[in-house]
Amino acid sequence: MDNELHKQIEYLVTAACRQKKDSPQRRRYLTQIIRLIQQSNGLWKEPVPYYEDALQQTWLYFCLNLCEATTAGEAYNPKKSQITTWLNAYLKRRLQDCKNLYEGQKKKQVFTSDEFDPIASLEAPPDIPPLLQELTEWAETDFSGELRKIHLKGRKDITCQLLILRRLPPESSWKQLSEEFGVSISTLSTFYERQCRPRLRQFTEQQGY
Amino acid sequence: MTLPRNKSLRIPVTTHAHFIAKSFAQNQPTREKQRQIYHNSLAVCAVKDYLNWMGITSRFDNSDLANPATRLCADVADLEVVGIGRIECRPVTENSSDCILPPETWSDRIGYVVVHLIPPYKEAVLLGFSPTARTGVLSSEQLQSIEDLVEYLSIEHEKIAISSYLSQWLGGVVTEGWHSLEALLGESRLAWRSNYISEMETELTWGKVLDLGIKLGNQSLILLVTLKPESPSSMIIRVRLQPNQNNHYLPNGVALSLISDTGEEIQKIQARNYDNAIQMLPFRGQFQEYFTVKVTLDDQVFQEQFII
Repeated sequence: MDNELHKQIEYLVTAACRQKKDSPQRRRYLTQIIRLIQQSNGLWKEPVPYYEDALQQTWLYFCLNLCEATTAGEAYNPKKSQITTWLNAYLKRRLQDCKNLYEGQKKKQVFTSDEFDPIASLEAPPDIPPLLQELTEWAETDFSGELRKIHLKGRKDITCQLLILRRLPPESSWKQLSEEFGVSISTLSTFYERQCRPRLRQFTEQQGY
Repeated sequence: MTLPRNKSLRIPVTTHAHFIAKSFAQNQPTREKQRQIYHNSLAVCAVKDYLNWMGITSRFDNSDLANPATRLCADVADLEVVGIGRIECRPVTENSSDCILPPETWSDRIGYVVVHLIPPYKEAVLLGFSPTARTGVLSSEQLQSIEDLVEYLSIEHEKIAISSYLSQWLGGVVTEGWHSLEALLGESRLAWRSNYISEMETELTWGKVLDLGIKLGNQSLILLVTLKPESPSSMIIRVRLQPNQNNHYLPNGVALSLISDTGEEIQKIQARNYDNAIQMLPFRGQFQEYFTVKVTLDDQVFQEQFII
């Protein structure tokens, strides 16, 4: 690692550990150190599908054990090693764990190559998802009459029912609705947020989703 | 020594995050909607992982993203920071372009984090954060650094700890420093000072003595809050500022303002010469909503946050 960067990191480590655990100041320093280590490119890399899992655990280990030993036997000791050496040792152990886990579950694993676009490999969308159909029927029927009754203040034509139906996919855009009804987007979306959203959530809870 | 100026941070995207994204993206009507949900899920997971490193607990099991109906009907990526509020984690696919916030995310959020994602989604870059939705678009220059987010969350947490819960006031549990009108103004002065208040018997008023420092000499001000319960989850609130017993007039230029939970100034009234009180227009508050009342005189500021 470049010497200047290394000195900067060591300085921030001392500064971080002078602050109280979980204090905003400590958290600020931790974030800055992580950023510098990322910029240094000093961490071990390996083109394996479980690399990110191991790295994720490594950053958590870093935050928990830099100043106090929380999950490690002892906290980081700058006299013993450079910070990247300390982290790489942990990262390689986690890579080994993840490798064992991965080998065990290989058949189930989804991610294999870097060219892979995970979204393209999702199941093709169904014509009409069952929930969409249920929601449409629920809002149209409006058994209790509640959705038809609740409306935007001063606008009896803009009801909960209307907005729920118009915002179900394929939805009308907020801009389109705003122009059509002559009401600002934020008025419409706030009404939706306060009146429609809780009722949509309630519906799914009652249906056991 | 110079500190790093770059404000972003790279977060490894775990197989668990992909698993969640995949399960949320299932059963959507279009490829486009699937992509939106996949991105939103990865953005939320990345912010959650970062907060976890920082020792900040967050959850999305009760979020709009996790609910199948709200996820279908809205473009949402919300994450609850436990004990503080919801932050919105917005994915972008270009790191320099503006981040457009969908209208359904404009309210009920304590902040916005912009997350850069590119296939094959091995890492997510937290580009920065904004405490408000601004005009519904966040440009990269407007973003604060990601460490400002953790500091902001810590400050918000303290604010909530010292906030006044108005629903509790109605039950008789009043925040320290606030007193009944009788106790505050003294029986004799009460009649003429408070005749504006007792329009309805269902209304209750409390007051607090504010000390705006040397600017006022020995004069202090009284902030009055009147609550009128409307339904179990809402109330009408009136806020008034007046001088204490020894003075008839408010200092010229003193201002009373109402700030929304998104930091937007909703009302501001300023005293002119010989005003003996200033009062906000009554407003309605819903359960769990936040607002802040601010009193300013030149560079002296008093503010207090309230939760319905």
